[in-house]
Amino acid sequence: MLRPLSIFTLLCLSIPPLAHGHDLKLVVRNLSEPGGTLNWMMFDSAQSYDAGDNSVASGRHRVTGDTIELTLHGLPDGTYAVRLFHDENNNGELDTNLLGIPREGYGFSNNSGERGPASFDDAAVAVHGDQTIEIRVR
Amino acid sequence: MSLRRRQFLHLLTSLSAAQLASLEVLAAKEPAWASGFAGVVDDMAPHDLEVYGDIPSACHGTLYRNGPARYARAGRRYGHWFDPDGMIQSFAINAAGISHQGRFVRTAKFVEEQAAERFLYNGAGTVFRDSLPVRSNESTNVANINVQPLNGELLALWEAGSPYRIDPETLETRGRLHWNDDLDGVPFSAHPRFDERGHLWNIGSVPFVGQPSLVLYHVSADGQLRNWRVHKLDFAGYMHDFVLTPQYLIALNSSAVLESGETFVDRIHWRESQPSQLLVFDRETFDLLHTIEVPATFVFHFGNGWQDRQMLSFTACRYPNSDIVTHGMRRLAGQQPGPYHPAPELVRYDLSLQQRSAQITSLDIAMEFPSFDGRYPFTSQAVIGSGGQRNSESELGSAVQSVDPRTGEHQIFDYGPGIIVEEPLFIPGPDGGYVLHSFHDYQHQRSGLAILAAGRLAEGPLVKADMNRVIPLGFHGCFLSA
Repeated sequence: MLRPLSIFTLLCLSIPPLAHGHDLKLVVRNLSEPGGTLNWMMFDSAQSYDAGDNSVASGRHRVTGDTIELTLHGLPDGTYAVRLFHDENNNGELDTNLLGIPREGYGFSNNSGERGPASFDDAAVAVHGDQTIEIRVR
Repeated sequence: MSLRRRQFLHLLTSLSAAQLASLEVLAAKEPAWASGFAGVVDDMAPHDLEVYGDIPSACHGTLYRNGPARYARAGRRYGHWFDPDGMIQSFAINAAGISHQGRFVRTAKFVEEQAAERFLYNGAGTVFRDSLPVRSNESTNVANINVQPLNGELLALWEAGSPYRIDPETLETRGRLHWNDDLDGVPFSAHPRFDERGHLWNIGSVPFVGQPSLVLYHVSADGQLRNWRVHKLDFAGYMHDFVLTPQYLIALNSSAVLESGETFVDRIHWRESQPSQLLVFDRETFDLLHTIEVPATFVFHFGNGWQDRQMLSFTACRYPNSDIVTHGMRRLAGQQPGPYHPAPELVRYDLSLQQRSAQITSLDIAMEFPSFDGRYPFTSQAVIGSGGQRNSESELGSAVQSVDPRTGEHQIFDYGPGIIVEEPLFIPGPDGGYVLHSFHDYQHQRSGLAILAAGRLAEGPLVKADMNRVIPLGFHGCFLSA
């Protein structure tokens, strides 16, 4: 029977299975009031990060509390950047005002991008073993 | 005794005589007026004033004021007057007496930092190590500049984001004002103007996002957004206030230009070679009609505007540069003595729209916090304001004054050193009405209110009321009749 692919199935498809891959724990904190969806994407190059496609992994999670934790398995050595937003009204977009300033929560790895969007270099995290990335939704 | 004072005295016990001698010099330099910038940490419960004199019935009502009040958390202190969280203070005035209270605006920032028991974000003029990245300008909205009425409630106004709605009875915060999704969090200046119908008009300065721009707003008396429009600007001059006339809206793109810097205030650079621009917009269409260059100018506040055929006139408290915001307001919040910034000078602008030129006339009077009779917003009339800045110990005014901008007729009552006069407001009443202002008496560590006859200001207060409580010195407010 065909079933919709789960996030974890997608992850397995998008990450080459490596015997010595690493576990990367992603902890997203400070989600505002429960509801909506957390959208996240992880990239391994500035090119894909800037283009917003060819992500290494991505996911959508229903928000039920102020924290979401998940673990990506089998990640090869590399440099990764995560960006995410909290789609509070489930319209599939990061809502902004007329100036383009976000009206919903967002964040980047390294909690980078003090004013506005972070670059790949600012958000990049070198992964050489099991580790945790914590992102505070602003 | 303040915490700073206690820490200082504790320090003294462990120092040598030579060190003590040098520290005594430092201690002596902490100015007496500094108590007005100590701030408070809690809401201020209702407290009765001692009243001297008979309060005119025309003055029964409530004076609301807003200003920065929470200066420190967890051992850290803000360093600029723009930074601290806003507190709405009210003085309820009736036949039985006067009662004062204060309540912090529950902005998103205030609520978050109150729970964390520390500052989480940088201020407009202060950097904290390990501060959190911000979602937007709204993350640091402190709603601390002005409080004005709209449709039965109060708006606690900042200038770089949305106003907060306040209950006029309880001073409780009802949430952030949401005009629509496009304007959510878009700058809305702290100095809206009202026309004779009670319609609200405002600007919002957007110096940072892409090309600098200015948002214009028109809101009807029932609080409905009627019209708004965004105009691109030639450069990102700091803009705080504007002028309304029956047909026009006039904004000053000042020569204090927002460029690079770590904080909002750090980004302000005085550009003497950059002429300022008077931008004249059509009030109904919001079309930009004229751009009139004037010499490099810095202005926080304007008086009212009036029209005589094609001549537009208004008053302004003009500074020769932006030292007041880049240095003076740091010095005040830092409770430091001079050097002083240049005093604000009351000037009259007469714009000829045909010739697209501006004539600027100095009235040779130092004035700040100008106000006027709000019943006649477009009539040439006396400007009321604080005065005495040129001789002040703090560089804030010790006097209340009124000036006729056409004739130069001037009245002033100067309380002298020891008193800081806050924004005086006109109250309609018999015999030319009254002027009401709050004050801080820093020699006696008491604060209160004074009421003067508007036509006989020089004779001094008819009523003076004070209390054994220091108010955090604020910016602007309004009086609502009972």
